[in-house]
Amino acid sequence: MPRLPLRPLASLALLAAFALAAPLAQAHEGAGLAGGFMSGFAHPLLGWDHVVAMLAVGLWGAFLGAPALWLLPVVFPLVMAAGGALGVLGVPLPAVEIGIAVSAIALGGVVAGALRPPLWVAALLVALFAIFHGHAHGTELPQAASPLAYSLGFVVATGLLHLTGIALGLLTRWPAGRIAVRGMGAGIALLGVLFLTRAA
Amino acid sequence: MTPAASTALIVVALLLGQAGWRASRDAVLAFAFALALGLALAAAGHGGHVDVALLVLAAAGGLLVALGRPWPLPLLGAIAAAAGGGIGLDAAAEAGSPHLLTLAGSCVAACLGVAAGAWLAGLAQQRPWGRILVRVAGSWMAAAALLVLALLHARG
Repeated sequence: MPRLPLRPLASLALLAAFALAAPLAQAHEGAGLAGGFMSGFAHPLLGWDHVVAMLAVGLWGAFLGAPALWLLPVVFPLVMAAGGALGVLGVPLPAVEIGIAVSAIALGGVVAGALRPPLWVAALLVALFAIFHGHAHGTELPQAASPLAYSLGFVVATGLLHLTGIALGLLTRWPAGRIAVRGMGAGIALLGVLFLTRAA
Repeated sequence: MTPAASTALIVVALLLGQAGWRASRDAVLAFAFALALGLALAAAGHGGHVDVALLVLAAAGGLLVALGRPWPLPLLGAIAAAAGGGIGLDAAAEAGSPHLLTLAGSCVAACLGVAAGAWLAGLAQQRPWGRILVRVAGSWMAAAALLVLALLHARG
């Protein structure tokens, strides 16, 4: 692809962002949209059980390398949306909190054990746990001031946790880093055990 | 612009950027033409909230971005045109009784937004991590749109 002139197009992007933001500022209360986004963004970040499981997804993706590196962070939000839809529709899911705690144990465990299952097994495992995390977020959605902003907030926060996990997982390029990443996985699994004792 | 319209706009930008800026120029034009048509229809009193249609487009388009295949350009053009028309109808309905200049401003801003977003997403395609980020962003948009569609369905 030929190189494009950066400065004029960057200015154009900035101009477009301002132009698009102006009607938002005029037409909506800041609290509605911004509040909805921030509330959704904070939801996964305020629960350590969510945080460590999401970090584990990223760590495992980095550990497995491509294509798991991008597949797991793509599969997770999509299946999480399905789990969230179940929560929104009021479909009960048994033992959601236990499922979330087990996700930390299992995902932390596979990182600690440096397990390399076939890609479809890894995707299936991550997808299974995404349903529990999505259900927990989805039950909060009907109370949100702006449901779309709330959804975007918690999906983006979840994705950023994955990316953080991937960034930490890149330490596996070095021998000492591999040990550190496996140690993080073990720590996550131990935290999962703690969450499980509280949830059970 | 409503959150649904913004989401659809971002998805179109990602989709076109993923296909490559040069390849998707026609789709950008289709977006601009449909947007102007939607705004004109809305100005003539035929506008309305089309949030559900925009969310369906955002969910479908986001999935296409996440899958990351070389989709046929006519499909991208059709999605871009549908989103442009929907955003036009929605923008006018959002503004109440819009002034012509307001509509023109909405048209220019949305076209600049798609063009700039597609350019940025296209730029990201030049690096492996950039391609991953675009696909991940597509999955985020699809997930958020699917959740809100479920909520709208639950509320009847």
